[in-house]
Amino acid sequence: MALVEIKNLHKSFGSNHVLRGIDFSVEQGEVVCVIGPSGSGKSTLLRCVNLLEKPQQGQVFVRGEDITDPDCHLDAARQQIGMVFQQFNLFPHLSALANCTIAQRTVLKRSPAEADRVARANLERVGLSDKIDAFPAQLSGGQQQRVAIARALSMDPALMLFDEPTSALDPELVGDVLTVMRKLALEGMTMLVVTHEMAFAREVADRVAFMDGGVIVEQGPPADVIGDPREERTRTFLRRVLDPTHVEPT
Amino acid sequence: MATDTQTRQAEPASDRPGRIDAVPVRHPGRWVAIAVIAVLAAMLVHLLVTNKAFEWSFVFEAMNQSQVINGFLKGTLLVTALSMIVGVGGGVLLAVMRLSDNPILAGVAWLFTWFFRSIPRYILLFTMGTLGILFQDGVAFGVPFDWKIIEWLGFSGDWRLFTLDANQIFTGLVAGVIGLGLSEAAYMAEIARAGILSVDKGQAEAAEALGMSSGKVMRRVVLPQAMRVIVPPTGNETIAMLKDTSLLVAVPVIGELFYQLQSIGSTYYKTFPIAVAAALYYLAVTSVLMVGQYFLERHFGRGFGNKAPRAARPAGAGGA
Repeated sequence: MALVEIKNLHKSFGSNHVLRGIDFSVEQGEVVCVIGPSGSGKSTLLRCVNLLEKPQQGQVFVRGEDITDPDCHLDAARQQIGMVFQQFNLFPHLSALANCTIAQRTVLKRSPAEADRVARANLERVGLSDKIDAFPAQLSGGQQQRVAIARALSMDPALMLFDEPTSALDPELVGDVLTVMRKLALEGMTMLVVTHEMAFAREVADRVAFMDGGVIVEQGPPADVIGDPREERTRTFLRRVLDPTHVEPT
Repeated sequence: MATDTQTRQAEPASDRPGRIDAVPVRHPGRWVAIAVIAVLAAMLVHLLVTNKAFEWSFVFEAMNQSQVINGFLKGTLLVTALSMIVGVGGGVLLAVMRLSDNPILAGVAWLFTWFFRSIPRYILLFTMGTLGILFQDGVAFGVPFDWKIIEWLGFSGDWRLFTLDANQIFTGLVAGVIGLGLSEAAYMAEIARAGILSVDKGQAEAAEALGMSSGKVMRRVVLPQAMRVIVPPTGNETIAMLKDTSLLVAVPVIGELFYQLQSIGSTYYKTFPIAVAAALYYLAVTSVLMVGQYFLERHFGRGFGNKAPRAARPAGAGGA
């Protein structure tokens, strides 16, 4: 059984039909990167996986449970899905440590000591054990995004969603965040990543999905989709995105 | 390029021009302002000290009367505190209702705000004092419409837990607190709503994505951040409430600061010193409230602005 299974998903904002029938799944342990031009619906698709956007039609199954069913306990499903946002969305009134403990305490009902231990371990995992008491405003963008990753990891999620996690970062800070994500992938975390980082997708992803106009145009191993795309739309997009200076001469 | 400029700067250091004889910029306007204000201040002090009408000894004696102090503690301070508790609690509740997806709750909150903002406080307090007439059998707590249901089922008796005498509720300080508190809730609702709306939508999304229920999202993530926007105008409202307790005479409540001072004033035919005594009381409490507001703002400003939060300072000083 796939960890996430999406069936015939449709989503519109007013008259704007953003997702036009998506069928898609993510297996346990798989790293899937979603690429595509802006406005293609990639972020909306990601936000439908934990129902931050409510689709008008279609179903989303997490571990076989239909979370679009109104009777489903959505908060319980969301606990298994960590999410990292483009704008970090750290809680500015809480320290890095408290950002990582608040949901453990209030949602998972862990003891203060246990939550503290898990939070410290995860902050260390993202390389920020020296910033435990810092507030978000005192951290760089890259550090904030790594705290956000630690916050999500502290809930012991089965799946991590990344919504363009490096798009709001200064170029020199992108590397730190990608390094953490690469490490997570190697540890076997199931990840669904919306990204513009083609080099990362090519290197880390098990599968790449190219979206355009609210549908998945093609998907497969990165060597095929990025290296040798079948569809003309994919080729046009990649030609525009892959600045020749960024292509690794392999 | 950079090293080039550096060497060129380092080299001619010897033939730098000597110090200039700088003349400070003159500010003639400031000196004029200082002179004018000094004269005005001297006139004020002279007035305060020499004018016999102040009768300072009578002012302080009046301020020290036990019924005045009692009125100040109960009618002014206690009513301010209780009304603000009702007002802030009610206001936050109304704001959450107003912003909810439930159209009934949102409509009720709007209606409440409309009603209580429309009625002048003095008239509202006067009305509160007369409401007892609506409930001549007292205000009962229990099953609503119990007598109708019991009659319909053919039983006898009642399903009431307890009954309060309406004339006791709608009188005195209780009526005052209800009236001022409900009126305040209507204003606080708007302030709280602005505060909640000032918190970025991404904050609630991040909290929801962590699996928090909507109540927890509001209590643990949104409201603590909204407080930063809510506290300054709430300080304003508290100060306004302090002064509005002098309207309690409309209920009527006589155990209140200004009423008590006034009655002393009319007994001794000394109205002006009484006004001074009241002003001194309100000035003193407002000063204390402003200090309290400063600390509240600092507490809820954690993580914002450029001042280092207190919690982070020791770590920064000790470690990196």
